[in-house]
Amino acid sequence: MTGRVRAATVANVRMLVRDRTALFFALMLPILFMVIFGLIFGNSGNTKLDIGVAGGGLMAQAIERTPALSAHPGSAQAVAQRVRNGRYQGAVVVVGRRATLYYSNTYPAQAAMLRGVVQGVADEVNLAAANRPRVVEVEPVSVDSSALRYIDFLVPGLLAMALAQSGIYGVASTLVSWRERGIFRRLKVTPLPLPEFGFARLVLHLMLAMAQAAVLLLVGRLFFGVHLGVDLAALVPLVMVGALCFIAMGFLIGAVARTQQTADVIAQIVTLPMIFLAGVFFSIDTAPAWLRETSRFLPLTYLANGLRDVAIRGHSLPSTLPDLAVLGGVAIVLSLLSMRFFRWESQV
Amino acid sequence: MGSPVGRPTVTAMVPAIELVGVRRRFGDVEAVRGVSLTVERGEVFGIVGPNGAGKTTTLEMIEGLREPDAGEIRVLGEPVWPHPDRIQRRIGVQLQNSAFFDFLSTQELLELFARFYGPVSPARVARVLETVGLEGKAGARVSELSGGQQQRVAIALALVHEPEIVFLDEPTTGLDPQARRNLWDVVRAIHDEGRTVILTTHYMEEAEQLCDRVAIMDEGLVVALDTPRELVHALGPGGRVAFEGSLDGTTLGALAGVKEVHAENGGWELSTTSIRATLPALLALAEDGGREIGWLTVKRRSLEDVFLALTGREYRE
Repeated sequence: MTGRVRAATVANVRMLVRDRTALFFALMLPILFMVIFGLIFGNSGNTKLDIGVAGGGLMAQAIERTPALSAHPGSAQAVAQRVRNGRYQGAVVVVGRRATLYYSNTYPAQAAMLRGVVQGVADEVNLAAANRPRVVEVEPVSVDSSALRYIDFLVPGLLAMALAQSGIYGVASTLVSWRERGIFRRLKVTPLPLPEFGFARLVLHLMLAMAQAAVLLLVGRLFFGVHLGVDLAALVPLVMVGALCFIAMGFLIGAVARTQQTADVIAQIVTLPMIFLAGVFFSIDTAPAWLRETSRFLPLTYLANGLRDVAIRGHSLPSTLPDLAVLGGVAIVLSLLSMRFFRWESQV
Repeated sequence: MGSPVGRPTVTAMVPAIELVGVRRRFGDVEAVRGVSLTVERGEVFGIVGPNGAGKTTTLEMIEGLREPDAGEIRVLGEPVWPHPDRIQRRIGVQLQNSAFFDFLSTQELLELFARFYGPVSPARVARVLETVGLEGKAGARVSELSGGQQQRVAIALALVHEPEIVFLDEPTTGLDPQARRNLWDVVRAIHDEGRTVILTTHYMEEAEQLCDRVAIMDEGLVVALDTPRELVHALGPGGRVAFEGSLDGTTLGALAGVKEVHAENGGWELSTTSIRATLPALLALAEDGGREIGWLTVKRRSLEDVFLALTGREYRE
């Protein structure tokens, strides 16, 4: 880095740490959400989920052995009825090779968790049956899902949300405001090439992204006991590429919007629905099919899922590659689009 | 205090700025329609004229912000286009609507801009703050300063790398009279350091006060270029006589030397080619009619009269 790029970066860092509004959205708002949702739903899932089991076989036995679940045997009709009236959070009816999970959407977070746990149990059973001859001796205990609470689900989602908001708002709003006010024009009459200034700004945003990851995960760990199995080699690329994706999105908004107000409105329209549809607060596994389908087109979905895999399920770099590829691809496409429309100066 | 910048180099005899036949069009409007002028080293050169005359566009083409459609621009002997970055180290620019990064102090802003040009000298930053009279505001956030102080920060940013030429685009627009006068002192201080200053203004009085030479622009053309004194002298003898008294306008128009009669602020203003002829005639008229004269002043001619004479239009700021 040349001296002037370093100076520009330092100046940008100064501007950011003194910008209380930006810091609020980057760090305080996600922490606030963590506290609020943590207090409301934080321990849900810590107590065992009541689940009715009808039928027998490996699947039923595996469910009975799962520590996160409290299994209640019964007839298929009886257990399903108890799910309907809220006595059980779910019921598994095993008929031959088919296990049907009944659950209630009254508590979406619990339902989502239950789906995850039961699916996990089924995976273990299948895996065991496929690979080992002595199926019965396999202990179908999934460490991750047995410890998974709502807050564990929430914290990586909030980190994804924070990265998206800081990238989109931070870049779009600042870019348009500086262009509108002629700050880029002023820089243009100095020997500093404007792309160098843009680079300094990019460095700042990546530093902010790492700070957000560190602060949010630590706050989650220290105050909410979030289980962290973080592999830094997997986390850092995901945070960086995720941040780049949303920086590019902010860049595109900043390139097409002429006034700061327009930029803020577009950023709002893009960010808010994406946060909900991508399952930041609640899993959308139980949502209608069209909604789940929509979420597959949102980069935030991939960042949130990737971060969950890495931060709480302890996945390593190779398993995040599909998410990285999607985020990186979107970042490249959006950047190219932005460059097509971007101007340093307002048109006369 | 400030070190002179008139370096004894081989380019010392080259003018600060030369424009030959410079044109610039925006859509259907030709904002600058063939401007030629030369600014000498060390002078304060003013471009004056009404809004839309093409002053800012002309300045921006010299600064390297807008490329001219035609013509040649040289700064310190170097052609500005097509590589404006070559001369940008040697010029300092204050743009019309100055905006600053938020959340930085005056000192931090100056050091940042200084760094764009090379290593930062704290002594130089302190000296520049002193030149613009902001030595007490080094630690203050720019957003907390008054309009006049912010304008001085903008000028300080233009000075921080010791440029040979300083461009000031409408530096006093929007300031109250006191702040404007303070800023004149800043311009004089920059001039005293040996730098060339080129400024635009739509205040004719300001140009007369500050500038060694003035180019009057109107509708994209330079309609006159000389020292303010010579421009006024070229109008020939005469001036304006303003007074209050109940005299008849038609009679006043017939007085010796009178060219024009205006009713102004409850009194009259006569534009005359000869004060020597008009004044006695006016006093005699009042004497004959037994009318009292409430007050009477003789105004010297100004660049506004020059503008009127050249364009046939009254000058409006």
